[in-house]
Amino acid sequence: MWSWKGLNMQKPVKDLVPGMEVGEDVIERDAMIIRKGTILSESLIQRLHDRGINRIAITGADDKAAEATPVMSRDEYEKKKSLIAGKFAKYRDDEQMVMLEKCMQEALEDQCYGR
Amino acid sequence: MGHRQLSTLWGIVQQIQRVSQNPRSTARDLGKIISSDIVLSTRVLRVINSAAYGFSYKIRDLDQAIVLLGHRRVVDLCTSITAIRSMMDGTAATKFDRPSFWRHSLATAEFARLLQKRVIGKEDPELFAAGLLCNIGRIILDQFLPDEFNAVMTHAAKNGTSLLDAEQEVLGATHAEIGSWAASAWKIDPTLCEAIRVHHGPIGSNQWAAVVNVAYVYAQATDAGSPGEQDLTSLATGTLSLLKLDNVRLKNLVTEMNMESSLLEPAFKAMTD
Repeated sequence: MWSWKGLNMQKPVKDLVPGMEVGEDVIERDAMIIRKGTILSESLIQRLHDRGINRIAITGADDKAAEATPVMSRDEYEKKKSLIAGKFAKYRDDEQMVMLEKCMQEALEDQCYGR
Repeated sequence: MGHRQLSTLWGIVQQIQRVSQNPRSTARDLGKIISSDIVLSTRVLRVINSAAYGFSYKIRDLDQAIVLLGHRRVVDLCTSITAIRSMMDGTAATKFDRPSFWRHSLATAEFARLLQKRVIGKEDPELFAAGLLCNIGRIILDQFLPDEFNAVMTHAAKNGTSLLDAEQEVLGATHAEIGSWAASAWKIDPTLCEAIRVHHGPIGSNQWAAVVNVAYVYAQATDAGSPGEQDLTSLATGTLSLLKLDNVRLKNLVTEMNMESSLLEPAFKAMTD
């Protein structure tokens, strides 16, 4: 269900994932729980669960994700990428460490492109 | 800080955890225990009102905090604050960087909580404590055996080995074993003692140790403080397969842990300032 201006979408709390942006203030019994514009973290989502809140408005994150706009400069990305590579350099033959490095590099790339 | 004070620390932590695990205990029961330590209760409120939690209004009392965050979160906070507060200051007899050590320990505990929830499907406050205190052996060495600990650090630097290997070579025991012995002496839950003992391996079928091991290495890889090691520590053999973590699941967890890591520094500052 899309709300005003077509920017926000009501999402069930069970479908929220870290990184989504809160589209409208979440208010319960006159108390502000989370302010509009807040980026959801695991603990904030847990807080919504704990308070029994079922749905909240989320900024049109799905559209944004599709645009894949970089949120980190190329320089910053390259710097972080080589830092990770440096840390893992001595573990080229360690299957688990190779897998962890790969996941960290992919997550960094996602962060860079706002995915 | 003496042995008795360390033992008292465990006592407080266990008392808080016991109340939280009692299904009949209420937010008020928990609030009462925490309030009996004025410094602890003030710190809890300070952390909850910090940027780490992002409340847009001020939380004024513990009952409200417990209702908002839940028992478990407040118990974990109390455990962190009590441990860090009691053991932040070193003896100056060694160059061990305790603030950086505790940053790493807090990150390990937070990541362990998230991993346990996602991988094992539940949250035990003891596992958070295992993540927070898995390296307590290093604090014991720094506090009570500074000469020996200096010898370990010198040996590691001179030979280019890890601190973990240097502990074994110089002392014949690692910080993991020393921490586990101390925890047993303080009559800590044996499951937690065992997780502390094998958090660098052999992991065997110990899921708690595996969770702590992944959290520990990830905290180190993201520069969330340092456990004292110069280089990144490797994952213990068989850790990822025991936790059934393939590429997809591990990447999702890494993304989630990245989100959590941005909240660590404000929380740590509020605990220690």
